[in-house]
Amino acid sequence: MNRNTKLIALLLLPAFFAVTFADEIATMRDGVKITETPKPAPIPRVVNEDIKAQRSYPMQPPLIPHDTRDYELNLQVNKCMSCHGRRHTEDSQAPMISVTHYMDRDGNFLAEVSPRRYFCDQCHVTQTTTREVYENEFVDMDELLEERAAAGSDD
Amino acid sequence: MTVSRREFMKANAIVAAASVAGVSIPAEASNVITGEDLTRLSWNKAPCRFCGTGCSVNVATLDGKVVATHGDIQSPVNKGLNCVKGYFLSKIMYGKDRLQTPLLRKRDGKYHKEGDFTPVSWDEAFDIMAEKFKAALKTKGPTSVGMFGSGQWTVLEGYAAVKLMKAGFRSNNIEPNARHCMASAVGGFMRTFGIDEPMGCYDDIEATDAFVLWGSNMSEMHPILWTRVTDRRLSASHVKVAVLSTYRHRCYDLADMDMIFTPQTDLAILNFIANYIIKTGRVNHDFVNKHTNFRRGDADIGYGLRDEHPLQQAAANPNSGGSKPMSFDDFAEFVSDYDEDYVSKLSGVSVDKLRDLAELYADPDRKVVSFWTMGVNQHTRGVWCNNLIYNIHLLTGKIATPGNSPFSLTGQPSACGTAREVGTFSHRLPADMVVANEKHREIAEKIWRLPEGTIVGKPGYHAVLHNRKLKDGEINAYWVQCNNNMQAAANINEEAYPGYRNPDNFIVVSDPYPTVTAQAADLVLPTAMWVEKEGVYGNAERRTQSWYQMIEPPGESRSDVWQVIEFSKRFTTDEVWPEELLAKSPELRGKTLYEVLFTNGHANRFPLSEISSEHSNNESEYFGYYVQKSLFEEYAEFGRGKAHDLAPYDVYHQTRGLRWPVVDGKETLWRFKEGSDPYAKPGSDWDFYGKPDGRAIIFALPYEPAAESPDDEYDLWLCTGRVLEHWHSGSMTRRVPELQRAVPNALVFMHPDDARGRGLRRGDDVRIISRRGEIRTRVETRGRNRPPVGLVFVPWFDASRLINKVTLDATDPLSKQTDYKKCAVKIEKA
Amino acid sequence: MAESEYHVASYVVSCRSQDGIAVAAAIEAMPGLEVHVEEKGKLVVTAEAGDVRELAEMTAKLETVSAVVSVAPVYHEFTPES
Repeated sequence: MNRNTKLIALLLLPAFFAVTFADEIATMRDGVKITETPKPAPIPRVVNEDIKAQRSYPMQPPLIPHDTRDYELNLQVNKCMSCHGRRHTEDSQAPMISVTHYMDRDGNFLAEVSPRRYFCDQCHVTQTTTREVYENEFVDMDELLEERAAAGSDD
Repeated sequence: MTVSRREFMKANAIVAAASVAGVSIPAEASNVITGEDLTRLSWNKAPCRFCGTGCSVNVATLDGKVVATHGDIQSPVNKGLNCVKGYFLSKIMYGKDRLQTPLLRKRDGKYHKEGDFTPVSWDEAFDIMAEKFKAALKTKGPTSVGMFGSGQWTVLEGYAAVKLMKAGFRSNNIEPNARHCMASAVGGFMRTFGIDEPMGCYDDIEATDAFVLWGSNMSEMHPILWTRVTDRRLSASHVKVAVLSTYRHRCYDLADMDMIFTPQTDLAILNFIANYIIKTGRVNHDFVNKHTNFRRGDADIGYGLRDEHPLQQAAANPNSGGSKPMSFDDFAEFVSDYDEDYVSKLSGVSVDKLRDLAELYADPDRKVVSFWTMGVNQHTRGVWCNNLIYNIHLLTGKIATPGNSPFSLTGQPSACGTAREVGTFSHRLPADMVVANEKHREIAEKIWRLPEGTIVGKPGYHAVLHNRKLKDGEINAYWVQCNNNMQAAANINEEAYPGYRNPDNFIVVSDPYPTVTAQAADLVLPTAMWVEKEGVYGNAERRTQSWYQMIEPPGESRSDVWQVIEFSKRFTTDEVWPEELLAKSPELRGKTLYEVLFTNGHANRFPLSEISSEHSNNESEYFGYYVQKSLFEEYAEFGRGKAHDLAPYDVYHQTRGLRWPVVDGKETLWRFKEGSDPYAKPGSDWDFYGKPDGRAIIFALPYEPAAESPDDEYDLWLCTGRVLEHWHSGSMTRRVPELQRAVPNALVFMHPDDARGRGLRRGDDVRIISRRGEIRTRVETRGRNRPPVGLVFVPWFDASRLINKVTLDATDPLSKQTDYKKCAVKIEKA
Repeated sequence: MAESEYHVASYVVSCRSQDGIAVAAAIEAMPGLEVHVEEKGKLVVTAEAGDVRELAEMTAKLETVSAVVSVAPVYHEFTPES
């Protein structure tokens, strides 16, 4: 930055600090006063494209890329396993459940899926096409690593 | 040097396993990543930020950011598992709209109640705060200031706040949001046992033969405990799961016995079970004779509404927790009214199902765990309901032994550790002590090195009263920390909102994010979250867990404890204590509250040199002493030797938590039982030492109807609650894109027949209307919750669909806890 | 048609202190498995495989190694590239 630019930047500072945030700061009310009643967005549909989303970090349970409406998951039936269980993946071509799901609470490896993993929907969720999404600045560790590698190669 | 993706993945795998195993990370892993310390993933343990289950996670940081978390394999609570929220902990701190500077409403450069939010410095923020608090204290006294804190505060934060309010400002108007979740459970414990918190622990799950869920949706609200229940049920075929609620939810997918009951009739069902046990001759008389007393509780106690309300006027014994002794025979006669035909008709549960359920308790060879949370606690007779569940475990002696466990589940991560154990309530002090008891006040004044009479004996206003008093202009300076009460408290339109916007009141809100509560405030303070500070939490099974600071908070945000301690510097004893008090301790004259409460030589006795050499500790570095350890060790003095023993502070950093009482380094799994609880007297077998005679109380308490039932105009029950994917008001989880996309908005779950009968279809835009307000949302007739005809369910996580505009602020008169599960609404097409 | 993948998983393997060295040697002899740390009966082991079924079989084999008391999986990541 040359000297003139620096001077202009300094003069602009007070103006910046006079910026106000108005009244309605609650991001998730989108500017609607607390006393008012916003119109509700329609119920979005569940994403059903069968395209695997990238995981934010390795141990994240993968999201369910398909609709699970009417898929029964109870004492009698586990619909998820009918495609994702080891025996069925050849026919279904669905991803097999992770090897971590075969261990019991004490670390013993089981032949079948551990009962503690029985209710898939406690960790795996579907996604909808909603447009009400709030920006998140989480940084993927790979990105941090690439930055580091790029910086390193400048030396 | 470039690193192949595979090499990086493999190195991560090695580092993760080494960290879990507690062995040193091998050189090859670090070399693969590049050999520079900073680029290695650094793993540290922490309790999860969310529910009362208290899972432990390993948190990975890289370059000052949290990049991953992993279920902690070493924790006995979750053994490597998390629920979907826990798996996204690494994202909750990174919402783009994170608050980074204090914001004050200003007009023309000065504070104005109707002004626009303007960034100010911490100095200016504390200036105006001090001015407002001093003005209120001077004109109306300590009852005109208040603080609303949290069961998500760390233990240190709650303790510092209690000191500032009760000892500094001498105001008992400090309440946690845990009043909304666990007060009835506490009331139940104190009435039946004389001492708070569960006697069993999670180990009961793997040891029991039956689970009964009383209005608790564990699958979504305590998911990891549900995985343990599922594991037990699917691994041992004789185990039975019974689920009772007012609507069908995911837990019913594992139920052997499923029951839907009319709201409020849980009271009748519980009395029926007691009746059944007695009539079928399965009372454990040996246990009952040695270890219990019977008492008849006062009935017709009102609904915690404003005194002018007709229901309050009609009550015979408003707010009475009184009781009279009675005999076993009298008790048997009392419950004999609750026969199977009457109860079946009242509750809507079939006689067969009632008998099968009762048999689980009556069968002497079957161990039983009862689980409950908000269905029982957020109930206008919540304390009674807790007492009645203990009744059936006491009548059969099924208590405090492995697998026999009435287990009150806690909602928040530290409602136990902070709110209840530290006593951040209007009537309490640490370790179950109360302000009304002179001896208890003396103990606190002694530990705090304060003159006799500093602590006021009259309890302050409870949570629901806070909002009413704000509206009435009797509380004028108010500080909200670590909760979203504008969204969480019932009856927003009539009480909460007018209270906060009353021009006589100055409202301060500390939060990481701009919530609805922040919007209703006058001053907003940016607050550090979770692993941005060192902290301690206590979970539902009495397990205290700690964690180190792992990253820096963004911008100018600071932790709640820093804010409280720093604010205390703005007041001197001369300004806030009366002359009589100052005369008793003249050496304290003119001293700041900071000097008196936080740096008096005792409260700050652990030096900076003792903080972890591998972790930052912003608060300690700022104040010049080990803040967390000093506060903790002073707090622990209250409970050690009094059956609330905590281990030395440093021990918690090395373990996956310990269940108190921790005596001689050993944690206690089952309290009140000789052999397991060091406080149970030798020879007692069971010693309910919370009561002077060592006996628990079996209470005769009747069914009484709800405060507001459906009628001709408002013809549906409204029940509110949560969903798996969102924590509480959604301020954290809705900022995680994967969780927000999973469940974006709060819908109204209703039966298809109810929809059809009102000309509605799934997806329709509707108004949900009560006598107090309305919201608009969309109809869901085939969701995860299937209500019966006549009832609808709406979760409260959605800031754009504030269901608490519709709810009623009726409370349990004894616990003062709001009943969020029952009021009357109508639904119309919008 | 199966795409080629790279799977890596890590485990904490436990055995008695005195068996540590023998267990490490036995695991090292198995294809795809590597021991990175062996300390007082605790071993950090990685498994690398081309698909999850292979990985599952290797995990099962780990359990059968003589003197192993428990095998706890810690980490599992895979990438679809070859």
